[in-house]
Amino acid sequence: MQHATVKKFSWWLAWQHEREERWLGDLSRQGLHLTRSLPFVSTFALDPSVRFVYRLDYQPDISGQKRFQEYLDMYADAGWEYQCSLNAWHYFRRPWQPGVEPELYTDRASLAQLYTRIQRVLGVVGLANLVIFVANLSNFHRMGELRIPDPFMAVHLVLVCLLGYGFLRLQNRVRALNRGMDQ
Amino acid sequence: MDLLPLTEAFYYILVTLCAGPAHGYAMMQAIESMSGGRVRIGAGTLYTAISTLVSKGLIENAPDLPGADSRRKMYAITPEGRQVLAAEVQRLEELLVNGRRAINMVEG
Repeated sequence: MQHATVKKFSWWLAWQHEREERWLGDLSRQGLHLTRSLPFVSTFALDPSVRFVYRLDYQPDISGQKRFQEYLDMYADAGWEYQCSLNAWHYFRRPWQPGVEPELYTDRASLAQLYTRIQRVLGVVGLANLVIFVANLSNFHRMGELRIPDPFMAVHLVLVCLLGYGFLRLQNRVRALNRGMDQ
Repeated sequence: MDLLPLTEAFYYILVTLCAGPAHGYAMMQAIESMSGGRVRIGAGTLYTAISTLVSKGLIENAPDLPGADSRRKMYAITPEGRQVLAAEVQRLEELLVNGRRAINMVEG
């Protein structure tokens, strides 16, 4: 049966994936089930007769179709239906059951590893952007072209700060997990 | 050995594979039943744990059994894996002996 589709504007920062999971779960309760995730646009199928819980996984190190299929097969065995991917973020769902909060990560060590994977990519991108920002700053300065405030440089600075902020947020979560405290 | 103490997931994966090669889902089920339903390992935790154990050389990919579902990848414990497991069991035994002695002293 073909269900009507609905598109929604959405954007999330990399360290907010648990909030995105709750958002998807809430929409599923209202009959809107994620089918595709693109930057800023998520597509949903309308079907009020079912309800799912969603979990996101971040796996930047899986290379090759065969290894990716093995990964999906293991999750499918455990009851997780693969929906779609956005970069290295993979979206899984399973039928909702009252009082059950199924998790992909069930111990601190593996949860800390998940956060570290996200943090590592933020760190690399953040550092690369910081280098570009500083290079631009000194170039513009030397050429006398730097207007204060320069809109491009301002946006870039905000981006660099955001990446740095995300990196530190995840750092705190990993530390808390390693100390044996729940976050 | 810097691998000790093992997490429950690592420990039970090694314990399960001592009986013979298995795929991920079989490990999940074996661990749940062995622990009387207490230890339920999530798919992400299992996947991460298997990758880590393979990279540390404690388990390895095993050839598919004839007639088995070749879609599922099989894993086997390595000699290093058995050594680490034995060392962990010894460490846990020491913890248990001392704990029991302390409790008996208080009760006795």
